[in-house]
Amino acid sequence: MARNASRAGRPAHSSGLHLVWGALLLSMLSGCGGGDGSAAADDPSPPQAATAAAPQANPGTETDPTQQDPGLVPATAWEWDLPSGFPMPRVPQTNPMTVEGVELGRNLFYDRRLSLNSDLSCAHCHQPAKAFTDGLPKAIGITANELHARNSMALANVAYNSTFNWANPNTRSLESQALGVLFNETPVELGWSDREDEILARLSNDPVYTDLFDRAYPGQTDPVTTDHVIKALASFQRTMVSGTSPYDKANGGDVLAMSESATRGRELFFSERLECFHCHGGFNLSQSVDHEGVAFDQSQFNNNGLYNINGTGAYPADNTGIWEFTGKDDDMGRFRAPSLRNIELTAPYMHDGSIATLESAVDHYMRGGRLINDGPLAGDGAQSPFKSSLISGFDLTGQEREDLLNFFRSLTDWEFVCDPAFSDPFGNLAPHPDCS
Amino acid sequence: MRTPTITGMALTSALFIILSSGCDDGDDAAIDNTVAPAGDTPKAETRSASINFDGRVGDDPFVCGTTYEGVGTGIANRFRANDFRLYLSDPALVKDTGEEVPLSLDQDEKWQYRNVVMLDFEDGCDTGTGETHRAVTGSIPNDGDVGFTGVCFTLGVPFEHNHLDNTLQPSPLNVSGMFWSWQGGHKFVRIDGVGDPEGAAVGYNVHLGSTGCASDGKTSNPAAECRFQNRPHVCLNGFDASVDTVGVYLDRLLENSDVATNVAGSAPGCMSGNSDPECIEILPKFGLDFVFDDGQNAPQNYPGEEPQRFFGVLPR
Repeated sequence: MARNASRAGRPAHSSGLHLVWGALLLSMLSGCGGGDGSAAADDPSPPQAATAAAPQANPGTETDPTQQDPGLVPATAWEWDLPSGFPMPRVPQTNPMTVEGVELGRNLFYDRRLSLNSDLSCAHCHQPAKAFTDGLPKAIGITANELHARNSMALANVAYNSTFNWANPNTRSLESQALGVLFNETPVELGWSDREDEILARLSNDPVYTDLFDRAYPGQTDPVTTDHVIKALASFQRTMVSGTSPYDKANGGDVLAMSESATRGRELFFSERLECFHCHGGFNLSQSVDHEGVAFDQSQFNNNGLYNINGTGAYPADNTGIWEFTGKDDDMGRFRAPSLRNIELTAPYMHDGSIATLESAVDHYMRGGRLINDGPLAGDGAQSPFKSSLISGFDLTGQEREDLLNFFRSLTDWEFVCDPAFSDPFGNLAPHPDCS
Repeated sequence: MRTPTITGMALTSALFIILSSGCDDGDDAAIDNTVAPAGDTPKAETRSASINFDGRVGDDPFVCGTTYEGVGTGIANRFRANDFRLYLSDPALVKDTGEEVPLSLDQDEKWQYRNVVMLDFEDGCDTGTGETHRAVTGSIPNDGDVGFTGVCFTLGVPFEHNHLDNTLQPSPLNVSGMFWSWQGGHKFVRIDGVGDPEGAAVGYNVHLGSTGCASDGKTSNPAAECRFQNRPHVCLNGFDASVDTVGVYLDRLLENSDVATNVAGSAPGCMSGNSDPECIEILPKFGLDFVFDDGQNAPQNYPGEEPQRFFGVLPR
């Protein structure tokens, strides 16, 4: 097994402009007594872990703590290198970003030992070659006969999500999302429930991991904890920022980065004729975003007319959107509008993977909802009483449809998809063929 | 989660703040900024002032997600309103003499920034956020017992704030649901709804914003003011801020429209587009001249109503 666990995380290759930015922000924060942001690097130690400062509680500790303390190497604060126009991600104070935490998270993300049967890693459903999706309509966990109800979501720019999963108004952080993947039982994903000690022991017994954990969470007698696993996974995913697609480059002034057709498609996408941008607008091509400076909960869920079973507006029983949580009629079939970044690589589409191609997805929105003629799901989604008032259908000429598709293709960010910092350190999952 | 004071602001805005007001967060300037003239009774330089607003559908208060009867001219005239937010700028109280006294807005890092405020009558029943904001709060010079008999404000976001990268701006200019595109800037008014919700269920929305903005594309900022700014300046007389409330009437915008039909191929409802037939009956209600131009026939001018219909003083 090839591995490269010694990689030092993603180097902060800041441009001069970003350095100026960072310095200014820092000076402003400190000058103004700065609110909560300045606390980010202060105290990475979670309260439940024993630390070297309390040696009496750990009589078995081999190293004399008075000797250990001065040599303690604190984790290195992460330096963001954000694309132009991207706001600062909001990072939980309980999980400050560090270079070492990100590196640990990358290893955990790709490590198959993180599943109970050592078959699957997180990356099994979030493969780099498919812009961190799996190409399946619905995800499959370690119990191979058990389909997940929903499609694996892409990971680009998850640092900016206001909520996580397709339709869960309560999953508010990457940490809680990761916890779900580890411990879910219906369906089982990685199978940690009641077996966490066994899985954590695999990591504790591997010196590579004890070193990674020690550097990410220095000074703790037993840093290999579930809490640190999910925090490291979250930190790694927060670094997965995609903002260097041809679309972004064109916005930055390199007008030749996009073809003329894609540029025309962009104008259609942002037009009041198509209305796409009301749900998929802004820097992340999703309105449901959160970041520093936002004073509101901007989570948003919409019914896009995929189902209207028997004309009642109903969705299939295992995929009712946030209705599952609220029970309100109007919430039937309301799902989060995900970012469209790298959408060309993330087929099939929709929460249940029920639209196979980008072309079919465009046709769905042209019609303003999906007609299912036969079977138990029959009904015309375009007539759903719960459909978003912004989805009313539109006509496109053949050329316009192609232009729109080319716009979507211009959102493929090869620098992101091929970034070695996000690649598999174990070499199990190959990068996209176009990366070489 | 608390928001750090400055992180995430547009660099330009942040610099501007440093230059203009240091790091003062502005809140404490509202009421108690007392300077005592020598030998005289201490008298505050400013006093607090606020203007109350409320969303209405006819005589009824707007309640997010409610279906109202009798909206518009159609036979099917039921309308379910799901979103109701708007931006105002430069609010002022008006003296008997006609002089406008602008409010210095409380800088709350949420609803109000510099001279711009977002009013929010919806509570997250569909597309919006859970919180509401129904008052403009700030301060005015304390120059004695001056009586105010009117109120003035501009509907919309001023050009200098309108087209910047909205995510890098301070709240409320960074609210994603109120951003159109870099070219068009912010939605000045967002009303989302469904006509005949139990029947035809036609999406019918009113989004007001600037149009005819010249830039390289939808994702570029215009260098100069848009051809149709669509920022009406509104003044209401017979308004005593201490007891009165400005009603914001969504039904009046729609009083000549059939909310259960929408011309195919046009935006659902009116989104300010000059080729959108639904806007012919809606834009003039804001007091705005509307030029309808379908690109095939000579442009038609529909003059704004005088006075505008959207705002009115609520009966006491």
